Amino acid sequence: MIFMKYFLFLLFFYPFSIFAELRIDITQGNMDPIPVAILEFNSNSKEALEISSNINQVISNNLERSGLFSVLPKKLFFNLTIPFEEKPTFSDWKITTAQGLVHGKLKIKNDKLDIQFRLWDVLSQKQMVAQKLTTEKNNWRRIAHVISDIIYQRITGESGYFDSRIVYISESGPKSNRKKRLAIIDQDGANHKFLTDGSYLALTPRFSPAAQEVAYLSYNKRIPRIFLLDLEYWDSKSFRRFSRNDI
Amino acid sequence: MIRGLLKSFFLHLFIVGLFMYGAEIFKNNKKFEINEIPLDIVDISEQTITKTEKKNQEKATKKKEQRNKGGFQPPKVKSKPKPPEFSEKENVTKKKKEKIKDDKEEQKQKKRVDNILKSIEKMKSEKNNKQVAKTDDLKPDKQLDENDKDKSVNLGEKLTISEKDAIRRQFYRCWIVPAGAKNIKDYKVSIKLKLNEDGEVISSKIINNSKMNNTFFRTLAESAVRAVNHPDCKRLKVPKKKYETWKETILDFDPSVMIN
Repeated sequence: MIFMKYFLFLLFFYPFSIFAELRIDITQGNMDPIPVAILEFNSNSKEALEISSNINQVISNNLERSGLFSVLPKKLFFNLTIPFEEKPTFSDWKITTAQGLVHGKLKIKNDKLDIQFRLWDVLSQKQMVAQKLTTEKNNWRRIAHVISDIIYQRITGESGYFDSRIVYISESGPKSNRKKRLAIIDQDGANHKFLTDGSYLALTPRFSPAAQEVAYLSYNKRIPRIFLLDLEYWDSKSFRRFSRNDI
Repeated sequence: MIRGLLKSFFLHLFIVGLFMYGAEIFKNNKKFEINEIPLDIVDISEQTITKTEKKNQEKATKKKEQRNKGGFQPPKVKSKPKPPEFSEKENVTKKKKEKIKDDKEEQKQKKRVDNILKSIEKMKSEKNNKQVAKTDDLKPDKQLDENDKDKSVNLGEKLTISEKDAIRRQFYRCWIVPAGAKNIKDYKVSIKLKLNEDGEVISSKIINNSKMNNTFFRTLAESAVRAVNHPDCKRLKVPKKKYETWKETILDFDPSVMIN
């Protein structure tokens, strides 16, 4: 009993602080771009190889231009291809200072692209995302933008903006005969197209928040009207004209 | 009467003990957190010698040695002296010979000391070169190592502010803050590390992983995990003698200070 009392007495004065874990606040980090290694997607045919190279270029440009990523040059890589079904050897990739690794495979079937890709966290040695995408062969640029968006969103948390287009009014010609044309362009400067021929004034284009449509004000035949242009069926020129009552 | 006294004594002890234990619990609560003021207590010897004074002293001793080298070097004897004509001269020459012998011994000893000093200087210069090659962050490490040598550390002793700062500085390079993520300043990620005696991370675990469904929290958490697994931060710069203190460490990654 006396022993117990002594024990309790000592216990009360025992420094419990030695059991407390060390806690350190890390409040300062850096804002450097995240180094990412992007491999060309594995492909069999020559055509697929070319498309794979193009897609790789577009993804690299997109991520690099965002300012949040730095795409590592290929000369740093030990392996230029990784079998899609296999895990990469992360130790090799750690040496390159890469924190993210993108690789995949590309197939062409009946003029359709079939792309599968994976994004790996090299330092945590975990797969961050894996997706399969299919599209028309001519639409490879769009799919590259979509892949860029997925990578961007997964790493930064913000939704990507690469698969977006810009509608604007292009001005040309002398002051006395100024031409204002409605034009559309991809965010990376590709696929530039004029939507009106410049024979009449076009102003204030606005994208539809939901559909692939653009609303703009036109002075065709000197009457101000709002037109709704469907971008998907642009070739068929499916305009919808508003009456004065609509305005 | 005695029973009552004993009861009150133990009750008081219990309350004191409870308070001591409770005080540790309050530490996690920010309301009771005491802001630490960076202050290092250093034992001062009876005679204080600053670094500059030390250097001056070293320089002075070196100069003296160099002078001695030049001044006390006996001239080389080209031909042997003639046999002594007088007994007094004999004595004088004997004394001279003894002197020369002593000088030679002194010279030998000085040469040895010189060699040792030179080798130490070489070592130092090599170390300095290495340090120049590395980043400035390594400077506090050297200090830490020196501190390790000087001080004997008891179990459970806390890390000093400078030691904690060394770890913070280490993570500055490794942690890429996801600056683009929305409302990231509202989140804080705590990672529990288990370290081996060399300071290498054996395992890491996110403690507050309940918000992992939130994409921005997940982004922050993943960036923190990447920092912990970064090759430059895989081995923490911690004083080896205080292993008991840092063998389990919790790192709180808080971007709010940086973003504000």
